[in-house]
Amino acid sequence: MWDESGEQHGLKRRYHLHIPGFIYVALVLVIAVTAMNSQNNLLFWIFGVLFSGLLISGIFSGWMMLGLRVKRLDPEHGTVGGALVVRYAVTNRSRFFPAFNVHIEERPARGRTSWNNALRPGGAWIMHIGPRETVHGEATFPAVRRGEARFEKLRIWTTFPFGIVKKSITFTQLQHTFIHPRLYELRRRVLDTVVPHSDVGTRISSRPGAGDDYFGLREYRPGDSLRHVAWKRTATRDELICIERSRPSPPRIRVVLNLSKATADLCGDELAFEQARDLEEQAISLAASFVHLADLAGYAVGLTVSGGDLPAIPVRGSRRHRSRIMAGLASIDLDRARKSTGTLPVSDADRSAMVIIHPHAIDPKLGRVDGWHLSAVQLAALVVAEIGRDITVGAPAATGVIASDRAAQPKAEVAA
Amino acid sequence: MRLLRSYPLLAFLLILLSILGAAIAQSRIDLLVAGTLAMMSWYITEGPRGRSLPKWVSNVLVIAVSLFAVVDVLNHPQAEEIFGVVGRFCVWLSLIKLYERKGPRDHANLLMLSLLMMLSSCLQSANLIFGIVLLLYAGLGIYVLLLYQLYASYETVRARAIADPGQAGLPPAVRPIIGRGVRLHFRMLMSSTAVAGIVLSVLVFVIFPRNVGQSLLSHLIAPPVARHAGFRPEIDLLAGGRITTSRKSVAHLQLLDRANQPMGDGRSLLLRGAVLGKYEGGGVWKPAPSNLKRVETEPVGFSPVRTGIVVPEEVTTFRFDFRTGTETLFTGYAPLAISTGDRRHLLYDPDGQIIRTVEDTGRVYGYYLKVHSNPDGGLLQSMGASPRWRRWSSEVGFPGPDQRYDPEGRVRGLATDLLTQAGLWPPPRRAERLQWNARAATVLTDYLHSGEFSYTLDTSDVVYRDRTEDPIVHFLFESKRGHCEYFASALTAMCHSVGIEARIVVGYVACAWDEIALRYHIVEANAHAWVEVRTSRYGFSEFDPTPPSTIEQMRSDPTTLADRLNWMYQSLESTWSSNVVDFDYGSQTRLASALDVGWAERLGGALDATREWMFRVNRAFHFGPAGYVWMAFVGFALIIAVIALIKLMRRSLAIRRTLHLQHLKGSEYQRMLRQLGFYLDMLRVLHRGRLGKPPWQPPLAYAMVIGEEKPEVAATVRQITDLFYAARYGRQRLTGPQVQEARSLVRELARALKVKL
Repeated sequence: MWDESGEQHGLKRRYHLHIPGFIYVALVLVIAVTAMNSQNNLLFWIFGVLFSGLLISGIFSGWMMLGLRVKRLDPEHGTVGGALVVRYAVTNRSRFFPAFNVHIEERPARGRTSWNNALRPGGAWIMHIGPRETVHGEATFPAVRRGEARFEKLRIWTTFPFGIVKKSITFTQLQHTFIHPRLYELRRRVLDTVVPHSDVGTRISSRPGAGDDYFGLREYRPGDSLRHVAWKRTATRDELICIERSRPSPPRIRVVLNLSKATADLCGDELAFEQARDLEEQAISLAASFVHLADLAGYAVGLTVSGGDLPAIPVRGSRRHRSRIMAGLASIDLDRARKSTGTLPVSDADRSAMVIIHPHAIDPKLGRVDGWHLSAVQLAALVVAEIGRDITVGAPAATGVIASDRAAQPKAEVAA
Repeated sequence: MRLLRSYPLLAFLLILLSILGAAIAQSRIDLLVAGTLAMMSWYITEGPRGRSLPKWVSNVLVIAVSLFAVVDVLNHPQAEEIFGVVGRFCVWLSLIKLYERKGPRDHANLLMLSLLMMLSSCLQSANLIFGIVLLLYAGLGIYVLLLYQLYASYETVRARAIADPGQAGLPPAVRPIIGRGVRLHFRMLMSSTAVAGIVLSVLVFVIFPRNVGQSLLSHLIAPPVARHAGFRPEIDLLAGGRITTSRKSVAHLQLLDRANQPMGDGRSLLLRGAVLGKYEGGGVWKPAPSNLKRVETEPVGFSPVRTGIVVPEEVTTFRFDFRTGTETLFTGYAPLAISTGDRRHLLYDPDGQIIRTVEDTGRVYGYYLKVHSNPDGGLLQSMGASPRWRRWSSEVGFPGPDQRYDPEGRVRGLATDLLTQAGLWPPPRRAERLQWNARAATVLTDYLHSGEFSYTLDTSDVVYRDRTEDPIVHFLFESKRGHCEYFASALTAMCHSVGIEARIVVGYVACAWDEIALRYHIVEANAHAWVEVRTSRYGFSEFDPTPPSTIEQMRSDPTTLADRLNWMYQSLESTWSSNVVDFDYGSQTRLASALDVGWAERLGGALDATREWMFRVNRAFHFGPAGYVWMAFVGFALIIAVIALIKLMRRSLAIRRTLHLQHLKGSEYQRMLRQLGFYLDMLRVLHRGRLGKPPWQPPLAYAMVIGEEKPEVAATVRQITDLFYAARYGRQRLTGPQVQEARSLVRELARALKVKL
């Protein structure tokens, strides 16, 4: 909440005497002793200059920070392997004093979902903010882990003018975002293989829209193009009749993530707990990569997580929907108890292709019989490169094509 | 960005300045060479080819410089020279750093090294040129230090961006985020920092207690090596290497004849300030113990220095006018009577025939003195002069028979050689001894006047073999260069070594004759030291061993342009020396007394005046004792009225600012000021209830937000807001009951939120 004059509550001011400050104070003391011992007036004057530097540093940095207010702008999501960019609006409310050399850093939040569990620290630096001016700075946090990132306190600090005293103000502003799973660029033919094509024909949507297929006739509405006027029908009536087209119906695909087995249950003789956890993460990444690829190709995508708390997300096709699925995948907590689901609650009326992703061994009973089963173990074979990584500096290069990849998944073939 | 780009060059200039300061302070050619190499480093490292030293080469050079520093320490083991070694080490280290590739940390190291260079230089030099370099360094240093903060942050952010490339695998472009007018703001901030720094540093410089902790590390720290010319009642030949001449005016001296008319022909006069007969070794001469007599002066007339003195009529009257007062009353030889124009106690030394004030009785700004230039024995006897032949060896003897300060007897050997050559050695019997004294002193003085010895005020380059070497012996046999104190000391030492009673006299030589005003103008540079040798039973004769050309130089005014420039430089150096370098406890005391304009007295006076005024007013109106109660009541009412007026003005300003009434004028403005206070009160109440209004939010939207957050006060806030809208934007003149109702609603709101109105 803000007060009448725009005052932000929950801020805390503090002076820090850091290592350069201690060194400076020690130097001032040495010079004072030397000056007293030698009664050298030049040293007395230098002592005066250094001592006044100490005072000025404290006073000026205090004044400078007094009028500063910072607001974290709603952060976008991040992706593991990429960076989360957080923007800050810093306002200098002082009428006369500019602010220089302002650093912004996030403080760890309480709880397991603190941002520093998923992100490496980053900071913003603003060189100058004029009096009564607002500037925007941005901090880049490299994302290292999938999950929720909760921001609570942010601190701005400066050591200007002399680097002796560090003055900081801490603001409390609760916000959170999601770090999406790592995304891989899948091979081009993966999607073509999974989704059925022209052999069974494409569906026509039962809703009107802006597609190409005929849907029906209706009366003219202001704004309709003259090209849509059905002139023959209009000629028989005394009003304008327009042709209505059907809504385009993209191919549909449902991604099913099999997390019904707890991590400990995946472990065996050849699989340690960490490796099993890595496979689960890779399975989530593979699911996210499928969603990403399908979204790029214009498909409608849905998500079902078997064994998790996440309710099934219907098959839709939009940017917002994609973000919803990614947020769902990001919010999966692998430490939670899994729900044992014997059969997958997916209706056949979904009328969409289905790909079922398993962390390790494939369970053919899960999903529909025409579903494609993939395992996280196959990730290297399905992937071209990691999205966001410079291909020239060594993402794991995959070889072969999807046709040969299919030979490497006998269980999937059996299921198909 | 231009601001940041200017940093490396300015930091480089700062380093150059510190190397220059070290070179000036140490007066060494190799440091100038280092400075030249440092200047070349800019072109080599930052020039078109931009080459820098490989890391291993710089490491090897650092090791070499460290070894060189160790050798330097071994060659200069004296504690005073340690700071010179440190300064030189810092210079060479900075030079290597300048040729390296530099990051923010290296720049910080360079700045620290430059500071160390200046600190070590401060301990070695106090001359004006170094002072100017120091001031420039301080000014530029503040700017560079401010800029360094920005530069280091920028470089750190850039390094972080390079180390953590973005999604494309390329480092993102780092441009500093800046607002409008960054350079102007930076310069303004720098200027205000500099002004605050100067004011505070001068304040600390002035009030920092002197004479405290002098012996903490005395064996480690060297004293400053410069002082300015001026009278001091003792001699310390090791006190300073260089004496700066000061043209600061000290006094005017007028000679008056019997009819009190100005007289004189401009001949040089020696004005005696102190008589130093006791040598304490190490070049220190102090007054010999003497039996001081008290002299009481009267407001009118002359007071003889000893009772019973008959002052002859033919004596000359000296009239002194001191600009800043004096505690030593300078006299000619020999003073008979004195008049200070007030009643005060003075001390008279019958042996040395000098006069000074009693401690803590204040300074004398002017006095008259009757002086007999050629007193006979009877007069001197009546003045209390002692005929005793002092025991030189045990009390005041310089090398003397026991040769404490000259174990090898070189001074005595030199003196006897000179006297033997003149046919004056061995000395005659006691009856002819006084006449022999004069002849022998003349021979010794002539030796010092010979071209073998030269006069200089700068003895900073004189190096002694060890601490036990006596500076007088060193002057006579090694350096043969020095100022008047060295010459006087040498003559006195030689006289003492052969048994001649001699003493050093310090004071002024009056030689600048003003032909229009018929008076002498005495400046600090006229301070002088000479020798008196006993040539009669009660009397002494003056011998000045300093080369006569020196006195002639003092008499001559600057004529050529070079002379005038030199004079101006000396004047500046004198100001620097006296106001900065020599600022001591005495200066602090004088400054404090000058600044003490009697605030306590003024306050007391103001209270007395107020009391007097109240008394007169009371008496004029015949109020009696109740009048004071009435006046107190009126005064109290006035105070209340002033406070109320201030509060009203502050409230009006708050209404005007909060409700944005700036563009309104005339009666409408006045009406809104009168009527819309209730809305301001409501905002304050809500602010105290942690429901503050953001400045960007319109009142109605704000009322709706309050309604959502605190439904129990929503209706009240809405009513107040409606009234506010009607008056502020509906141009509706609120009636008295409406305003009262609004105020009561605000009170009700405060009660509901449980906050104070």
